[in-house]
Amino acid sequence: MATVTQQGNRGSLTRRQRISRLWSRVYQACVGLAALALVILLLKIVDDAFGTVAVVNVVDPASLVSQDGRSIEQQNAEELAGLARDYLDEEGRHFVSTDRLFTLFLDEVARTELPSSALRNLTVGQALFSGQNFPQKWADRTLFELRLPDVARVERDARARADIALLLAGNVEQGRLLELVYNDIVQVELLESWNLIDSLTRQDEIRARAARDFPQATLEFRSWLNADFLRTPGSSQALTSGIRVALLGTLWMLVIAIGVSLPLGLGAAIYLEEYARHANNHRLLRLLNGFIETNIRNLAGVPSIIYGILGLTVFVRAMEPLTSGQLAGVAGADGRTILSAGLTMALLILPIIIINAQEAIRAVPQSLREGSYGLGATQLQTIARQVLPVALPGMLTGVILSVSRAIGETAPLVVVGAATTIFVDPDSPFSRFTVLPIQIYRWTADPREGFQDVAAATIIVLLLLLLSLNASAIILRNRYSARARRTL
Amino acid sequence: MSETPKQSVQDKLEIDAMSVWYGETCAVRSVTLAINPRRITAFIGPSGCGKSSVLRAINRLNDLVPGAHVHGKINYQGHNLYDEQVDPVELRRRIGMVFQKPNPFPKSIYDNVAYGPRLLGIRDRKSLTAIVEHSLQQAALWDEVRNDLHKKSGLELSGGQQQRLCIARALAVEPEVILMDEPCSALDPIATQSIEALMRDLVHDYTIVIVTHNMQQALRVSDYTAFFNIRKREQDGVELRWGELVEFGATKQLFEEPQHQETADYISGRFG
Repeated sequence: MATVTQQGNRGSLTRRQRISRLWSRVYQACVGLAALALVILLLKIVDDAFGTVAVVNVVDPASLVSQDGRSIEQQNAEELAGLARDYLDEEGRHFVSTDRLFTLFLDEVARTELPSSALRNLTVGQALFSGQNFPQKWADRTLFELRLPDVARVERDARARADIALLLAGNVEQGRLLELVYNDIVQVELLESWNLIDSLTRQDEIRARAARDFPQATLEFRSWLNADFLRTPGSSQALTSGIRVALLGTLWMLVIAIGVSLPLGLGAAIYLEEYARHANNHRLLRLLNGFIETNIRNLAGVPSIIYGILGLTVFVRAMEPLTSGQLAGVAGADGRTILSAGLTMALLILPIIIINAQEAIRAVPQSLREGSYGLGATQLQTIARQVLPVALPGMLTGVILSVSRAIGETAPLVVVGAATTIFVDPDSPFSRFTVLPIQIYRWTADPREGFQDVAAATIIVLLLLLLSLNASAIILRNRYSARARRTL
Repeated sequence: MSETPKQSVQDKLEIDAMSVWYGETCAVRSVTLAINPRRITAFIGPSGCGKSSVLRAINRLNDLVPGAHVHGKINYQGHNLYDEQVDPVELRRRIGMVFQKPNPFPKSIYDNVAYGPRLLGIRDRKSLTAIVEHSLQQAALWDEVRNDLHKKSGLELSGGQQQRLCIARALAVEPEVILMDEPCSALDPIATQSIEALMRDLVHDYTIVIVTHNMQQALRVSDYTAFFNIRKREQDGVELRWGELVEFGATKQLFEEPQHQETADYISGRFG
């Protein structure tokens, strides 16, 4: 009989231990590589999102001082309005544009809390500027007319320019005019932007280069991710670009997608788990149910672009009267709205929600159902009072995971028609839209200085959103499994 | 019910030539026996002999198993329980069930016991509380949990307490018959003892059917015993197995003077 110190046919003990150590190193290396890839990704993003920038004012504020030497902060509304008048720019490319003035007026009126569709048809004389502070001849014009060629034409007319200055001075607060002067006349222009690592390690080099190439410019450290970045819409300038519209678009889309797919998905899961396998069902029905179940699993693996094409065909084109808002009485242009996007996304996450909810329902111990039936509960009562309460956290985990999927999807929305450039907040399901990943895609591809950094800041926002959602899914799941352990 | 036979005859559960099938497999074949009211009837036999299938057929819990079907009749109060007019939901309220593994709901003790009455539409707090108290007293659990009714989850009780909670839960809907599927197999000897004592108490008001692996338990608590055994047959190279009722009679008689050699072998521990 062999003793414990004798070797069997597994080779010597030391050799076995060596091999075991080797493999544990290999597995460690796998983990290490994966972690390294993640660290590099995060570093790259952070590197872009913060760093030194060289900025210069397009118009030196010193040249805007009043005749008696007061700086622009000290000037009154009338003087600031005069500046705006002087820098009114027909093309709207460099200085104060007529579009900009129009939004400024709208903002003033918006304080009356009128819906924006009603604003367009309001005449200048109606409630707008307290009836006095505008040239009488404009009283009957609608705000919308103010924006279009009328104003563009009057730009060339010195008297009309004076009218505009009067309009501004009489109706817009000094603070907002100051903002206008800063943003549209003084303007901060981005000359060059350096990454975080360069900014930290090569400070002297950067300073020397800036002094040589941009003697006018000031160097400052900038976090591209800041409060204004979240609050402002996109812009043609990297410095003033924000993600407000994309963030709102993402939220709108999620609300619609979840609103549609949650009830559908949970309902389907309850049917498949609690009713489909019922003994009394006809054989054909059971076959059909099995077929459906298999295909839901397949659908979860379909590339998202296919869903985009489906959405384009069904929601954007076939259901255009509904998705464009025609049926709801909104004069929308076409079906490429946030509603179409939300519905497409709902289809995309539906299989994920169904599968996760099915798993959660299946995890409810059969003994609970039997206990309930044994007391004379009907099937409905058993589902509502035993199955759903126990399965709910698991179901929610699935929903949150599918939301994270929906937040990051880009391809189907490109097909469904996400706008690439849009500066107006979405305010109804029938608005045109853009979402965070689309903005990232667009800004990443933008060759102008600074937009890479804007994209990086947007990626951080997206990642933070995703991380917080996943974290809540994990917390829910942990709670759930703790409870499940007590049940079993 | 056109005729009104004597109470005791009417409350008898008469299983008549009943077979239980799961798909193509026969679990138990052609069982005929009568379960007497206000008595404890024990089903004993080796694993796979179909005793649990018979038990679950009595309150139609087998309906929930995909592919399960039952042939033959169970007559109770003048009706065949498998008639189309019989509502399995109402039937299960009148013929309650206690399972092998204690399965309290993940709710408070109070909500566990009040679950059945609430299903019946009782909402009034006072009556619910009265039912909960009475049921827990009947199940000999009241003194142990009276202070934790709302605080403790049913799952926080010990195994024996959980099983008594399940019995209280079954009693709360005022059943006529209680089916117990190996109620003590997951419990320690002391908890088993308390459940057995409880059964002897309850039998004054309820008809009890118990499936057990423990012959001593059958001998200790039951008035009647049914012994099931496995039958095998070779067919086309496949071995078919099913259960059959071998012997049914008063417990004392069955254990002391078994009529069949199989029964004698089983109760003397020669197989099974």
